[in-house]
Amino acid sequence: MDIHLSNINFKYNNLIIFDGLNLNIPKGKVTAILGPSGCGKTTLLNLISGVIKPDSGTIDYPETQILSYIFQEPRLLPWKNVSENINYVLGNISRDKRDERIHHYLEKMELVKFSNYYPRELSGGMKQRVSIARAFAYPSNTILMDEPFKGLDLNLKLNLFKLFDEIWKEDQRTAIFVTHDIHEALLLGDQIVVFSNRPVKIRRKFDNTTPYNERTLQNSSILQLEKELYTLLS
Amino acid sequence: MNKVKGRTNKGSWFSLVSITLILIIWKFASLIIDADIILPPPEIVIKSLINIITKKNFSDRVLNTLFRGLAGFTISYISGIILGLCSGLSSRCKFLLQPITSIIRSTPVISIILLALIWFKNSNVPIFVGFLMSFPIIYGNVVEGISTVDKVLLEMANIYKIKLKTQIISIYLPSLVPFILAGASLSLGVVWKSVIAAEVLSQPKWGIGTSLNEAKSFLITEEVLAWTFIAILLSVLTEHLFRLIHYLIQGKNYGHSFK
Repeated sequence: MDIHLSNINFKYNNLIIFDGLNLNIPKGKVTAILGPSGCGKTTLLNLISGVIKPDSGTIDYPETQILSYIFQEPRLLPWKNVSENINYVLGNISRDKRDERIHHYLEKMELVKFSNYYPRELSGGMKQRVSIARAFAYPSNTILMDEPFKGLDLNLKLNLFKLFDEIWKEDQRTAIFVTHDIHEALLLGDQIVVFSNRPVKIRRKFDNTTPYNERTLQNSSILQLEKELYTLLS
Repeated sequence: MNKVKGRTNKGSWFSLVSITLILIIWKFASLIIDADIILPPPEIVIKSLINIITKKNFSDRVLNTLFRGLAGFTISYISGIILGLCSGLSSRCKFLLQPITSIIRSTPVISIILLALIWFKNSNVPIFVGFLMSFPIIYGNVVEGISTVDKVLLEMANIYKIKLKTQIISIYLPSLVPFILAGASLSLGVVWKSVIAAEVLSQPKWGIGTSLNEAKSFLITEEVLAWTFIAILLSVLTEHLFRLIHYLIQGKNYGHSFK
């Protein structure tokens, strides 16, 4: 079942963030929310995760929605090593299955060698990979991502996208990915939703039909979509 | 590395110079005053110190004070952490405890000792006083520590539905270690001072304070100074031991040292 937001109103300190927002987030797809910084993208994730409640309007969830979150910063416990950090969120899984699960996702994120390392011993990109492994190791069906690639250099980003795709297509969880970077949205999003400034309106929705493994910045349909996005945003 | 080492050595030389200076001034002052009852010279105090240490009930006197101090400290340490956590997590609890800790903080030690003398058995008075004097320090440090716990880690734990009990053990307590450590080493100093003061007044059978009072009653000034020296040593040693224990626990559990 899709996640469906209808007629959402939300004010923060008299600042109207959402004024009758309607949005459908399809199941098993990556929805990229593209918009200027500070427009309310993180607020949208907080509404979906239930951290905050809308002033009015409804959000329809699948019956058993379990969320995991990839934050802008990795948010790892500094006193736990890589596998302990992942183990930390797996309290609901039986002990014998946990190790197997941790190992699987560390392998997917190319981190097995570093499982005993503490966060302070890892680079920024590696820490973010741990954070991604944690989000996928957690038995969720929806993944919220709040600009998780911000501040990483392009090579690192492209490598992370590749790893993300491999890990994601295993069970194709619904993913909502917030970004202000057009390229990130083009390469990762199956659906790209362009937000306006506050109060947020959906300016346009694009379907990115190019299969993931063909999505490069040289691909003609991606280039075409990029052009449309630039025209819309400039 | 060498430079730092050199600097440290130079620093410890200065401490040695300062100790020597104190001894010289002390010696001269005692020569000028020329009355052992007012200021005995250092060598007499050292002699008295050796005399005290070699007496057969020396260990009874020191161990009893040590036990009382550690008992008071342990009670305040545990209750300070528990109540500090409660106050840090709930503002109601904080407001409930605020007047109590403020009163304890500003009550003169002597009033607490005198009241304890009325309320408790003599040998328990120093424990109570030690506890009451050190509790607000540990409690205050824990409350302050909680306000510095990384909010984004708590938010992460909430999103991943981590139970509060697990959050306390895995996020709050490790973040509090430096605050607990600082509070504990501050309060250890206060504990010895107040326990010994309480012993002077409550006169339990054995104790450094009891011995100090006996020496004072007979005007054996060198013994008063020798017992004072023992009390200082006890305070310094326990503080170092405590730091070592904490350092070992920290290193083992968290794999890194805190700021």
